[in-house]
Amino acid sequence: MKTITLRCLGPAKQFSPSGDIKLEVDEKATVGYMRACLMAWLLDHPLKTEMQEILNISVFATQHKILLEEESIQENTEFALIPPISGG
Amino acid sequence: MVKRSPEITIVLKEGPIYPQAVLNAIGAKEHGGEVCFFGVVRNHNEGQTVTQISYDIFIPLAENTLHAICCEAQNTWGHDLKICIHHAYGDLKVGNISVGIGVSSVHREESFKACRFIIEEIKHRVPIWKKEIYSNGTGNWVKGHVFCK
Repeated sequence: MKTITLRCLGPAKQFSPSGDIKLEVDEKATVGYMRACLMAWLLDHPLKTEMQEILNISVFATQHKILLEEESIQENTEFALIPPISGG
Repeated sequence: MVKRSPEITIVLKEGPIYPQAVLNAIGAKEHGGEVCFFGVVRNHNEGQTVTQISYDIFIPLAENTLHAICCEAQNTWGHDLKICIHHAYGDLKVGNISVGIGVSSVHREESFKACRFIIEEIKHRVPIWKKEIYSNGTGNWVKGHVFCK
């Protein structure tokens, strides 16, 4: 197992007061597995329903790109949860 | 600030954007056209009175994506385009500028088209979020564009 840090941004900041979530994931985990871990983590969250709705329409990213669900998770990478964007 | 090429300037900063800073980064002796777009915090949205907007940005990915958008604009309308993008984060009041885009080119047409392209791409591709604060003290994250999984 390895620990990854997931940065929560925009409306996903409600996931965690610190803005970060730490998840334990399998060594060969994919982005899709990370999503499943986060969904499970949310089961005990007081805003579970609202948070799950946000997660369902969010993607994961690194500092460099949006990730596909089947991509492997690289260690020592900063991950971010990207809800629908509204800049400009 | 990202300045990977002398023709492209990208600045993500806390607080309002100042037009002169955008204008200062574009233009050249060979350029006959300069176009700027400024997005401004307005006082209403969907029937609510807006008093302020709070912007959040995933800075590293936003810088990379903005740079990619600028390169796409140059590939389409000319590698001599000078492009400057400033985007704010943090709290902005009504009337503050949240985003400034400046483009200069030899002729005006390329600048107009590239500037329009850039703001539309920002709306769809750059990880930026805004939370509107209303006159009754409540707030809402603005519903935006979903990335495909």
